[in-house]
Amino acid sequence: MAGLDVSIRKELGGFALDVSFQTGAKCLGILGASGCGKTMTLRSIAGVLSPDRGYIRLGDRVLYDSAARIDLPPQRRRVGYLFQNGALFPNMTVAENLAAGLGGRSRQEKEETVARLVGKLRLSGLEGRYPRQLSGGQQQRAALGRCLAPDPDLLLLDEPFSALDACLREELLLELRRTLEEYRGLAVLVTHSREEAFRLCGELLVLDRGRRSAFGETRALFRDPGTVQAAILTGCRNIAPGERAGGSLFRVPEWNALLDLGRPVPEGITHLGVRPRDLHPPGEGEGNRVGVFCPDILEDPARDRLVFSPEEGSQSRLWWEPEGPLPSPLPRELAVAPEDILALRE
Amino acid sequence: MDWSPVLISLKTAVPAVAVTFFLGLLLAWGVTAARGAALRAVLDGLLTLPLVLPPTVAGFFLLWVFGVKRPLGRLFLDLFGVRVAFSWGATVLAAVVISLPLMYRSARGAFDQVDRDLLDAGRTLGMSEWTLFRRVLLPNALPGVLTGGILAFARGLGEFGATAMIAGNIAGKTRTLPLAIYSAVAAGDMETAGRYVAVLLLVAFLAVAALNLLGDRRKGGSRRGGS
Repeated sequence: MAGLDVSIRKELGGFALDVSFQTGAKCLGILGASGCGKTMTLRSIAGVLSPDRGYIRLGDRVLYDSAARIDLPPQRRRVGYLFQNGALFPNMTVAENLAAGLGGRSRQEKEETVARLVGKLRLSGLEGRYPRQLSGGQQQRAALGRCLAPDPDLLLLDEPFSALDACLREELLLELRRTLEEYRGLAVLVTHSREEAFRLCGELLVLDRGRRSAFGETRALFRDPGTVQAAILTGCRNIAPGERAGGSLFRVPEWNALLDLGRPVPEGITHLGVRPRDLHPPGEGEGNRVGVFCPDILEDPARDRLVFSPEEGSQSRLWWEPEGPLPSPLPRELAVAPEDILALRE
Repeated sequence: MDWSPVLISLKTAVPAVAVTFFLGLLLAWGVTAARGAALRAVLDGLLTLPLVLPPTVAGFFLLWVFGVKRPLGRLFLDLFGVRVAFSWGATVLAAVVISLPLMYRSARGAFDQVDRDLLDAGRTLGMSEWTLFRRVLLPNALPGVLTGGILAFARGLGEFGATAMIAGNIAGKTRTLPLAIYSAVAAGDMETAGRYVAVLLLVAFLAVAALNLLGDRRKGGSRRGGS
């Protein structure tokens, strides 16, 4: 299978994008906070934005190479782009939108492709409607069909679910996953949602302020994010700076704790992270304890979450998601197993 | 009543709006697509000038370019045997120059309102820039573009200053309605002037009514739908 090989730099209005990655994954996720350069990266790959320097290769095709002065126009890249809001043409019906990328094909071929996509994306009966007459989910399915119609080598998905409500979002996610399984090419999904990234993507690129913060196989990255930004984006809420204290020890002043990682602390580690569900009331003689005060409870239908201060009057917060019902009385200390502590770099 | 000014006005305003409409559209498209903010600003400024200057200034420049003793006017005369100044062509020319900024600005404003993502989506779908213009940009900017056309027509019909400079006020030849009103008043014939005024009022009212209808249809379009 063809791979995607990207290394680009671009400066735009005080923001600098400098990102490199190489992937063969069926679906690569680009995860990052808003304004981290996710969409800029995607637009550069699509060719609707020109980088300043670098290269973009897709399989054995060069889409962009500043050194060789190659910059294919978007029309010739064979790259599909699914926009956040679908960007369906308001002046065209669903069928016309689906056929919009089929210029130059025979009428019969157009009709067959449209009919096939209408069936696959559950749009039958809507062919003659205009985009404004469709629901958000239908619009996004039609937009997905329009991208797929010309059979692109690469599919770029720019936060395709963000304009939908939570219920529709999961439905469309399942639909998209099924579609991607049948799709012959690669896909890149830009998102700020870790659930979407986890469910759809084999590999994950974490961007932070225009730079690559972490990159790797999705599940491995969720297990061991490696960087502070990746830890935040994969759902680790308890992150605090500290310093190595020799051997396997690390001191975290904010938590008033000296924690044992059970393994030598690598050089360059600046922060520790602990996931809320990895905290527990300490067992008899267990180490790695953090004092917790001033609890606040956030009730959820399924599971309650607690917010503590590690010290009386402290501004910093410690989040805990207990397994099962809340213990009573609430613990004054929480512990974490050495293997559950994430060692992070800035 | 002498109907020749009405006829001359229509013979001027109709071809003028045809030229202005397409020229303004293409210029608006060109400036919208132009690379570089500085280039866009310069082009935009040049194309807007006739709107902010007195029409007599535009007329002065037109005379300066197309006058019989000027190189370009000479060229037209020698090559095609066409005398531009003080002819029917001059009334059209004056109307085009004066009404072009209205068409250009309306079209540009309408183009700017079209979501850039639609254009980028079209590009990734393999549409050429010309196809994009025809099938995406223009249809989605149509109400604003038509508004520009109507404004340009009304302005061309009412053109006085530049027309008087380059086309003169020759009865039965270049005397359009506004010039006929002026001449009638100058001759003390208020009754004739009043009739011409009534004709212009009627046409202007029809143009404004058409504008409003267009606006209503646009609103109706976005209210419809939702299933």
